[in-house]
Amino acid sequence: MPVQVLPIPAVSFDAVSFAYSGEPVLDAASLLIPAGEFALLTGENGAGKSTMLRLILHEVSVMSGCVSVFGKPVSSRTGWRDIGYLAQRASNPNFPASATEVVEMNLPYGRARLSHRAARDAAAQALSEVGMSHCAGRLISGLSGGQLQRVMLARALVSHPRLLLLDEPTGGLDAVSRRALYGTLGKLNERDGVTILMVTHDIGEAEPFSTMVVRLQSGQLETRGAQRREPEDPRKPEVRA
Amino acid sequence: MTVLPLSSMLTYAFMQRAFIVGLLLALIIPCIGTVTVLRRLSMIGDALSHVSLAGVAAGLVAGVNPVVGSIIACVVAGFSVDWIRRRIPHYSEISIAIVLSVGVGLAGVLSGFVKNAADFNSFLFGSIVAISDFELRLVVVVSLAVMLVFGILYRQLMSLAFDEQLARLSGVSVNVINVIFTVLTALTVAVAARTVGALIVSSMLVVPVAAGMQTGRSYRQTVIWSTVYAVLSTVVGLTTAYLFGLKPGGTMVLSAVALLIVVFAVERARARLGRRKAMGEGRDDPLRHHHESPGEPCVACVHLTEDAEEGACDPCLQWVDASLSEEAAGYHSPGGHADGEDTCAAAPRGDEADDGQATPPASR
Repeated sequence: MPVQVLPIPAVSFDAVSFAYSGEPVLDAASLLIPAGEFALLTGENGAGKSTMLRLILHEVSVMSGCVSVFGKPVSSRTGWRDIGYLAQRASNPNFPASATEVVEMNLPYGRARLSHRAARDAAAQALSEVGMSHCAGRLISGLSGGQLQRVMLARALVSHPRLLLLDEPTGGLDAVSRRALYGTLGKLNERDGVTILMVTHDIGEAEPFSTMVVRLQSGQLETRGAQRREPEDPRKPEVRA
Repeated sequence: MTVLPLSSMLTYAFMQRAFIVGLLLALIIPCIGTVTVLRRLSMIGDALSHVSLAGVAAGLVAGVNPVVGSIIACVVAGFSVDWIRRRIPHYSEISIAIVLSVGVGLAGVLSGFVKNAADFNSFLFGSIVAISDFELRLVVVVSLAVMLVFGILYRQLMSLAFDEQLARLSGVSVNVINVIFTVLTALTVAVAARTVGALIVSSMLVVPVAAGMQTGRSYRQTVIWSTVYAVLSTVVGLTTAYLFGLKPGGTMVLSAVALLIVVFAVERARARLGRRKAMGEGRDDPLRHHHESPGEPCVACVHLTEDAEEGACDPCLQWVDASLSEEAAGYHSPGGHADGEDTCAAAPRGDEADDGQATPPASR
């Protein structure tokens, strides 16, 4: 009888419990996100969505249970370069660096570092991927919120991550910029097979691009398939409001 | 006031030493300053320089070289700032205030036990024209070490200054780099405190960087311009101090501030000229319509107008369409989809080419 080899999930939470000052965030919650999925993580404000990303990045440790990324517990990970992370906003938007420099910051350091020319080429390619080639030499402080988010996405992508974590990346963006960002993410997921876990409140707008929806409620995680449908046109008056 | 002849300035050994030390410090202080300013720790120089005074006083009381006492105190204070900052990450400036308070308190108490007050006072405003052989060698060694380490860790320090969390994910050894940088900062402040003065060193860490940030169009340029301004203010300050018999430390700082004011004025004028040029040409500016009719409501460029409540305006939509089409051009082969599908997430479908909307895959 042939042995069936199950694919290694991109992200798994195995009976994970976590609490902030006695307030439970996750209560023996379990989750499995197969590789190649575009998962949306939703839940009410304060439910602990961002904390889940922090658990995956091992910025905080679980109280019990185990969080694994590509089959390896995060507590035993040493490198994080296969995981891309995009926050709601850049923490230092007025930093005096060009878009290229910001992207180059995520290239390998030490012995694995690229030559100056190779680093420039890699950054240019990542910026082109998100449609920001024309802003490569501009200071990030001169970019709009949407443009800066795209540069930060290029920064995350330049290391060719297998898993992309996004924490409400469209917060503060207008409808057109949101759609453009979702389009880029959908392309990455579809074409390159990048697994995406995105915290969002924009379930209506983002769901057409996703493949599964995870809802965090009362410390438990509920998973369902995404409802695929044609996305709405952001230029229609009813969507603009 | 007697004005000395400029021609004889560099014939004096004390002025030669002052220029060597001043220029070396002007090369390394902005390297340290750029990172501290961008990490929102501008006042760390102030805290460390006050603590260095405590180290000086302790050294004088204990009969140890005061510069050595200053270095030890600064290193301890640097780690203390880092330790406190990690415990109060959202209010990191508190760490500086606490260490500064300790430094001032200790310096005040210990200075009461110093027998020769003139020795102690020379550290307050520095004595760059009275550098000993030991201090000259110390400055050379520290400067070379700072330049070497800054060169090697250039990208790591830039990444750390930008975002510690992202730096860690990028593979930067945040803790190790923090320790190295703290030691470098402490060493720099300690040796600079002896030369330009403890009360002045924090200004030298910040003012040239503030000027460099006005001129630089990238992080690299900011570092380079900060160094250029620091060197300029050192040369102008030392020369002015020599010519008019002024205190060199204070004159160097005032020169740096004067230079900063000039840079502000020049950059403002340049920005105005740039805006006029953009309004005159505006061909490459996709949001040009806002320059022509500011206040036009548009959600697509809400960052440019506060009146945006309605949907995106036509010029912005055309711009987004063009951007999406540009992306699609890189993904689609001419005449069809690269992978044989007729839809994709980033580019318009064939029947929506004019519409230009991002469309999710039809099936997966």
